[in-house]
Amino acid sequence: MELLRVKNLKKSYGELVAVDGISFTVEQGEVFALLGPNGAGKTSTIKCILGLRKKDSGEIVLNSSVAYLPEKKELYRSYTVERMIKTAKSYGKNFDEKKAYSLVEEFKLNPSEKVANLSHGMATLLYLAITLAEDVTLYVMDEPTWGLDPLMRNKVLSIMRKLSLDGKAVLYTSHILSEVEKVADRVAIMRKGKIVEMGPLDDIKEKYILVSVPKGESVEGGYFYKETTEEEIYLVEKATNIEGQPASFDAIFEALVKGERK
Amino acid sequence: MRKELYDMRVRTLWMFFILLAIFLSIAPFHKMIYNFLEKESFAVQKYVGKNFIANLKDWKFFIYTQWFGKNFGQLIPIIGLILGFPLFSREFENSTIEFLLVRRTRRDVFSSKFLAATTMLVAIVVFFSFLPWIYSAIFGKTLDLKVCLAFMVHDLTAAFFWMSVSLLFSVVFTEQVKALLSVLGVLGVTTALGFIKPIRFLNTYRYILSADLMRSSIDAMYTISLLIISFTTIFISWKVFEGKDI
Repeated sequence: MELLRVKNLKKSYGELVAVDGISFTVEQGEVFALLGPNGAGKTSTIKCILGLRKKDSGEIVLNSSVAYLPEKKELYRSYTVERMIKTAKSYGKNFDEKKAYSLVEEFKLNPSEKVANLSHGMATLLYLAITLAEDVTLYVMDEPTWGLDPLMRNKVLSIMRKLSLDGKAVLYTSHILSEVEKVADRVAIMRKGKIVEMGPLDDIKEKYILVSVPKGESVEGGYFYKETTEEEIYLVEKATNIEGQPASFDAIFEALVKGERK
Repeated sequence: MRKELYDMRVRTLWMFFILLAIFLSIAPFHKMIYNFLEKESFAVQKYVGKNFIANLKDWKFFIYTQWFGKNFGQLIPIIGLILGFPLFSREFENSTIEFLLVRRTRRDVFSSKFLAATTMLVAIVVFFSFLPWIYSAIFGKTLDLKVCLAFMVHDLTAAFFWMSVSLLFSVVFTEQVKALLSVLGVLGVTTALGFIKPIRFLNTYRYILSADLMRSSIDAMYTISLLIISFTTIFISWKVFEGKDI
């Protein structure tokens, strides 16, 4: 079942085109990762989906209830963790207070602690607890694990994985490719407001190879990846007449977002 | 709206205690203030007129001029301003506006903030407009309730007007200090320009501190004009907020 459909979405800020006609869908039961460097248009896309920013054109069809974890995990600094949960309950329509407290306990947060006294990682965990306590079908998370220690990061990733197994969907962005490989079913790689690659992770990895050529030569249609003292390495789509090495997801991502095509 | 009222508690309590302190530094010291001014009447009367000091002996005149016409009256725009300027600019500045807008519609968020600020404004202005009358009743003095009501109408209207102006700047600016300085600028400029006779209507203090109120005479035209401008400003604020990118 399609929970979200984005079709030909465009968003500009004056002369700057932030999102340039992108299209994708998010299905029930999947984790969909939106990847790209800073300024690629990921946050603008998410904010347009949530109605926080007005789209210039395109179509957004949301067939689900949504919970959102923003990029800046800012909560009310003068509140305690407990009051923050109560506020989220009074504002949220599907908020499960018990679940919020159980997550707060799992994340080892003190309910009587002031938000202002929480570290960045702890504030992220509190925001995650509040977001995950919303009983919705689509969770939109912008950099959900940024600033978390490896233990908590793995915990959050397993919660995200469980959400998809429970029939919910997750649309999220991340800079940490290793975690994307762990949890994402499908990814879309954005560069300068456009989606340059999209699909299941394994399919994308299958689609490309790395080809090394002597310096000064190039591979037609290839994306420049990196150079060594003697050769240049290009990312190219697999074809019967080209031989190369399997490409890691890191290499695919780096070459595609560089976008230097020969 | 509970969250909004909770967020305003510190500001409101501060205003409440400051106003209460000012009132209690005036009302119980009526005789003392009068005796002091009478002694200095020769020096003072060239600024305030011959009969002013003598009239201060009268409790009614004293409260109308020293509370409504001076201390409380002068703070009326500030009350509206303090309640209005952080409403949205603080949420923008702290990036907490997203927390609200993904959970509620913009209309809900705007109306709950506006209603909370209006509730606090009405509570403060009404309480401190009636406080002299309550005090008079307790201490066996007489005060004309009609005059208190007349002052209250002017004070409420003016405070509501300045709150609506603050609300507009609060929606436009994403930093609290810009919203505050802008509305203070408008207050300063309109008050200063109001000293020029043909455009004296710009000075809202002339309306708030009007001597006509001592005869319980309300300036209906100015009241209606201020209310129309206030509601227009609130509507513009809503339209700005409705279309604002977060």
